[in-house]
Amino acid sequence: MIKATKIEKSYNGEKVLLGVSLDIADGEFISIMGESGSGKSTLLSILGGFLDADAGTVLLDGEDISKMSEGRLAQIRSSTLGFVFQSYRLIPTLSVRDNMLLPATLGGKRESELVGYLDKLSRSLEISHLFDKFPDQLSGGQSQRVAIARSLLYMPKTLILDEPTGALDSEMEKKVMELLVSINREMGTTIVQVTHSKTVAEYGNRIIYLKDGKIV
Amino acid sequence: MRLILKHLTRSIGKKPLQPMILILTLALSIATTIFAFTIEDMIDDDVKASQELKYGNASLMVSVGNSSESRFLFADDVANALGESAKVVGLYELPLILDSTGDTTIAVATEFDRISDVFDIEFLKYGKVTKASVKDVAFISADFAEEMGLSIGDSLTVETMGYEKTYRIEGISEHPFMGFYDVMVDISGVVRAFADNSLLFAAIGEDFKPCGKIYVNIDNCEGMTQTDAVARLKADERFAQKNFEDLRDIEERNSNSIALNVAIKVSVAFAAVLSAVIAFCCLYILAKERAEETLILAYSGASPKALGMLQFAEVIAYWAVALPLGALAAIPITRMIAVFVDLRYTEPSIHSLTVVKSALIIFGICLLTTTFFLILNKRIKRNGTTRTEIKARWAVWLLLFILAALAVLYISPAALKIKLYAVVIAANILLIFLATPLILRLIARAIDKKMQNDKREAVIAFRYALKNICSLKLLHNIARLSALIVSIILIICLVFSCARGWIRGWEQVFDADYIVYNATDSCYEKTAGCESAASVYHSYMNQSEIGMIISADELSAYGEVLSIKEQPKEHQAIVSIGIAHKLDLSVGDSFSLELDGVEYELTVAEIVRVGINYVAINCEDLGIPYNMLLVEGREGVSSSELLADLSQSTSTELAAISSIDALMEQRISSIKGYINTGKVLIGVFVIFSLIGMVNTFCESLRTRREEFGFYCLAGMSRKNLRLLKFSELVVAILLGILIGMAAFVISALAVNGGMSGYGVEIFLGAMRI
Repeated sequence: MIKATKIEKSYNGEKVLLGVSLDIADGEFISIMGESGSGKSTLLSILGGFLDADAGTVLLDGEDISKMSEGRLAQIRSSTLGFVFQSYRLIPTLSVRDNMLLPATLGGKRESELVGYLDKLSRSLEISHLFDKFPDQLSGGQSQRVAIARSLLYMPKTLILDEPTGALDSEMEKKVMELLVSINREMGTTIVQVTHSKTVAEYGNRIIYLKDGKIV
Repeated sequence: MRLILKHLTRSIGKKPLQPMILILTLALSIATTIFAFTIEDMIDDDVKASQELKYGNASLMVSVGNSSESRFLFADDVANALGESAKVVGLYELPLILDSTGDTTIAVATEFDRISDVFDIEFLKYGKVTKASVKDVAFISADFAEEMGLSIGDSLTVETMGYEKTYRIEGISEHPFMGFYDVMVDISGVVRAFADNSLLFAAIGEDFKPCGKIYVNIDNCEGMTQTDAVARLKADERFAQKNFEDLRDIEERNSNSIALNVAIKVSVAFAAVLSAVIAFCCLYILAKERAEETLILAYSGASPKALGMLQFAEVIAYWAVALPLGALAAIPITRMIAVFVDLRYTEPSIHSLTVVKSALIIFGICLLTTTFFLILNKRIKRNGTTRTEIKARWAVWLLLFILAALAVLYISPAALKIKLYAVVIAANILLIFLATPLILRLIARAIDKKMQNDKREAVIAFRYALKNICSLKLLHNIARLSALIVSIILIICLVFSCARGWIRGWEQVFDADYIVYNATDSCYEKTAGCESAASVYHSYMNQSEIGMIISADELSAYGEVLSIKEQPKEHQAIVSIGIAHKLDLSVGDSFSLELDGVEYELTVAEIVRVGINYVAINCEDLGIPYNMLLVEGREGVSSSELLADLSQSTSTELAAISSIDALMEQRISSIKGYINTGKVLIGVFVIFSLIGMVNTFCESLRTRREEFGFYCLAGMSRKNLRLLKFSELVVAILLGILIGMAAFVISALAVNGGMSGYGVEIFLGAMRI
């Protein structure tokens, strides 16, 4: 469960989040929508522990995320928390296959244990043929799918996605969202996504609107 | 971990420039450290070799001594006292005037047939020297032979104390005899020359073989220790008043090399600090290049420990590659430095232990630098704010600390001054690092504001350069390095000028042209009677444990640099401030002074603030005989005329004459070694820093290709883009130089404050001791 209470954040004196409070129960699929500059990505980063709030608390399964050590955060990121960035953030020196395996292996899983699920996931996202390629050889859509596969491979308890389908065509977008829905239903994975698209947002079971740093 | 290592190896392969520069820097550091330790070893070896040349296998030296009534020693007397197992040879120093040039050179008259028992000199290998021919032959050093254009078989006519004799050169040695003498002749030849010209010497006979020093080797004397030998000789009334010196304790005699060792250790520390700074800059650039990837690794779940180990593993890998390169580079560097340090007796050779020691030091530096770097980057930007405000606060506090420390430095006691000034200089360097970006921003913004209304394209490009200077860390690093280079070079130049000032001070210690040693009262009268001599003073100069001891019968004998206004009375002493601090003395305090085995209780009459360490005493009141005469020539009389006149006047006195320059040259020769070493250090420092600057600037261009592309897309011409890049570099360097000069003023004030406690005052561009 994620519980955010009165989150505030400023950048260079400009307030981006003004006391946002949000409870996300286990197994929920939340979509956060809002205009550009409304603070969606900032809120997502704070919920994921990538950014510290200026005020307020974020509890991840009862643990205050801002008080966690880097070691504890690393542990969480490789086992229970998955994140898909808007800019994909693939490691350019690792192949697609290695990029996908990275968080899972850092979390202590053996490659041999992951191969089966890796193949299944890659087929469903249509990226099996890209295993030996490097990120600079991929298109935007392919990179995004690899990033999604990377975050799903170790079956995290919570998945945070920032514009997961921004670079995908409508057909692939549908496939990816259906995959996320099935993961949410079958495995009880909590999913929090930020999106501009109402169609994508409606895949979730709750939509939160953010405007001028507040939930409306 | 396998994937992280895969990422690392591919990163290095993809962008090899930075790692190569880091390896080069580490290799240079290793090479510098190796050469510093090797020079230390080589200087030690050189000194030992020169000591061995000087004293050979001799363990004990007996000399005349100042309180002795007789001016001669006889080797046979010593041999008789110690027994036939003891190997004994005597030496006498004589001034020789060469017929061709009129120059004088100190030679040695000794007994050739005994000399190889005590010293490692085999005369017979140079030619056939027999007992009959020994009095007609001379042996010269290779340098002397080259200077005079002489070879074996040539004649050498010399004038010795008014008597002329021609010798046949029978041998040329590689080094000066006993490490010092260019010419060696047998005593019997000299006595023979006297006998040919003097009825007195003819009457005395050729068995008269006086010596000034006797060298003794007691290795074959079973059961006899050094102490036993000295006790036996002292028990004999012929040697009761003589001086005895233990020649085996080379370390103690080596005060110059101890000081030079300190200088070498400082050099090693300097090279290590410099390599840490450059390595830090390279690590910073590497981290910046891989920041995005490192962030992804962290977000993917790589622990800080894993990321830290990655950094360490990378640095250790670079060190391992740099090690053999550094060891190879050390060979030519060491040979080059050996020329600067003027080694005479040893060839540069690098020991494997030195390589290991240097490698471990740089390894330790690498680990420390990496640890420090990781600590700085510990929290992977979770707060999203810049650190400018924190740095500005730290810079202000540091500046206040430096100003307060300077104020304290100038009013604190000398012992604290000498520590405080080092702290101020270290803080100053830290201030350069912290304050440079802030100062750059202030100045760049001020210039930008003045150009706001200028619409020319070139000016717009220049303004963008100024904006980049405000924000780009790489340009800040260029400015920092410029400031550091300028500041440190100016400080080293200041130290050089101090050293030269110190040398000039030493040259003015006594107001005289020549010194006459072993002068009796009769010698004094004859010297004073020389027409070329304007004044002749009795004086005393001796080195004790606490420093140089001086005395003169007239105030005018002392140079102005000593600031002696009044002769010390009775058991009083005038003490320089350096010695006063060393012994913790104030005016009125008493202290003990040991000279030639006799202890004297003295009271401090005055403490003089001069940079030369000395104790001035009153020899007459203390009953210490003067050991030299100071002779000042008349105006209009040349140096050689004065010398000739003095030699003639003292010809029957067996006195030795030396110029004041030669005496002081001995004292200051070590400083020249330090200056040469310092010049090399400047060169190394400049090379290191230039590598850092060039690397940083190239990186700033390379990593900003996309940014420069946007300038072009936005409409900037290529010409103006070049102007932008050029302006960034020039403005960063110029501002860095200005900051460095300002920092130098602070450091100079600190150095002046620190040295003032020891009587040395530095004014920028001049120096007063």
